[in-house]
Amino acid sequence: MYGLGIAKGMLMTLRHLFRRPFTIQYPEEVRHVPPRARTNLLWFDERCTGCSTCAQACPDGCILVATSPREDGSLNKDRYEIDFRLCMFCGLCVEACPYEAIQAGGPFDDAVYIFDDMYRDKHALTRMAQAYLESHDYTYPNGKKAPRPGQLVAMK
Amino acid sequence: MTMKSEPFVVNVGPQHPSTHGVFRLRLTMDGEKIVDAEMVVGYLHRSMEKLAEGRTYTQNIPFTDRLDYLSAMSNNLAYCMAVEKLAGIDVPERGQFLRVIMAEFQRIANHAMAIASFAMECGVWFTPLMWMFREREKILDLFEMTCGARLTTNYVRIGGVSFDIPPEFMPAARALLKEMPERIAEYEALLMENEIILARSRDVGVLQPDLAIASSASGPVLRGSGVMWDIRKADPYAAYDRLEFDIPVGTCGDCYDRFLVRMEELRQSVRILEQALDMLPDGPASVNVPLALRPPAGEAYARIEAPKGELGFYLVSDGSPHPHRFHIRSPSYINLTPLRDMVVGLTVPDAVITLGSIDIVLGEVDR
Ligand code: SF4
Ligand code: SF4
Repeated sequence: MYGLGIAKGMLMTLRHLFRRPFTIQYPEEVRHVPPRARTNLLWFDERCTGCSTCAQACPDGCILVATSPREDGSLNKDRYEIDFRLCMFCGLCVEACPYEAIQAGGPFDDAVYIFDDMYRDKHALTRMAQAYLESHDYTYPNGKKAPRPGQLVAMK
Repeated sequence: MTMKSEPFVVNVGPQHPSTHGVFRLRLTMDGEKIVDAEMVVGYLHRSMEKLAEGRTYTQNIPFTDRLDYLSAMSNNLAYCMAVEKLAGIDVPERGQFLRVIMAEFQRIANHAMAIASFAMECGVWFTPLMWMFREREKILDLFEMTCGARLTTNYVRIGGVSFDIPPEFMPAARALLKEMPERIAEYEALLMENEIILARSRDVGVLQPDLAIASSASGPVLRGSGVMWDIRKADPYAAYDRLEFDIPVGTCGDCYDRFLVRMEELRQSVRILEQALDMLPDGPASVNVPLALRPPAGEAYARIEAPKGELGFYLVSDGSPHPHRFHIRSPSYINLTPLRDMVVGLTVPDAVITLGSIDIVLGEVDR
């Protein structure tokens, strides 16, 4: 009989009417973001040695590391910049970093009005990383403990 | 008295929702009938193949995400298999199974999208789309908890995968697989006998098996025409030779058959996944591969059965860390070849449905 298939479908739809909705009302309700999610990149100054492995691993070449040697043989990070205009959040830099100084995580809602604001230098990156640590009980996205601000001064 | 009419050219696209992206179809009409069709592609060209020549083998993996952006896992897999073939790298057993699990979840997600958008083009509107996105969403959640991203996954690595699955993956995956048969039954009740779909897609856009083979079509487009060809069976890769599944084929090669083939492939994917989750061995998921891998000079072609058809990567190495030549055999592009023959003689709305039933993604057509 013509229309039977549609009627069946309609019945199916009708039954769905009494189910709980699957959608959530953002921003009132925020879905759980798993810890591995590459929502953003966080760079931790206190961990970074300036080895530039991340810059070499990046397919887009959007990480800039400029260093100068210190007297004790370590490197002074003159510049550390990530160009988020180009970054595609592939996570290759995170995998490449031998010191876990760059990690995936952080805010996913950081859209800007001015495109060039997505170019973040050392200070902007540190602000973002510190804001993350403050709101996450000084724990890195990978679960390890981060030094608290007072301890950081003592380290330097 | 017969009326004489002038040929009339209708442009479908490039900005048209039914072309699934920026694709232009130039239809020459004689009254209501299409007498000629010309495909114009290239609006989304990003010169992937050339870009790849300046990057290392590992750096190219995230670029493959952007080919068929609805099934990034499959793209990653095909590319990494080509590099492994080139460099002679063996992947541990657990890595192989994880690849199969992700590729099959990706197939379900892709077919959900393909079926839903096909139904929408037939005029069934949003209900199937919303229902299928509900399941697709759960699959994307699984991807996100495993590798950190939902669409551009960048998960498969040369020599294995980037992360092993987290502990919460298994319960979530099993729960999803448990409810999938019921969900698929719902889709079928909603769509299979639906008179709108039947009226719009039965005997429309018929692709004869010999034409399908002659034009190198693959995937559901080829199988919809009744040709039993699936690379998972014909040339098994990863762990497919240890898994049991059937290949659904159509009978007459019309749009409805292609839709049925995709519907049945959902069931088969669930079947594969159930076995693969049970058989998942312990051990390492990947082997360590240097960041700047230098495969010996030579060439390699690896292919997989991506959700849309045969996806192959042809790589030539000259011994340096960058590929010398990087060629993508993308299923969407080659499946478009028989489109002209399929739409000639139809009307414009039927051509739109025929295009929808091929299931193209323009990221892959234009590369
Ligand atoms: S996430 Fe990828 S694109 Fe972004 S900085 Fe890291 S390596 Fe580069
Ligand atoms: S690889 Fe890590 S430690 Fe080295 S420069 Fe990059 S962020 Fe710093």
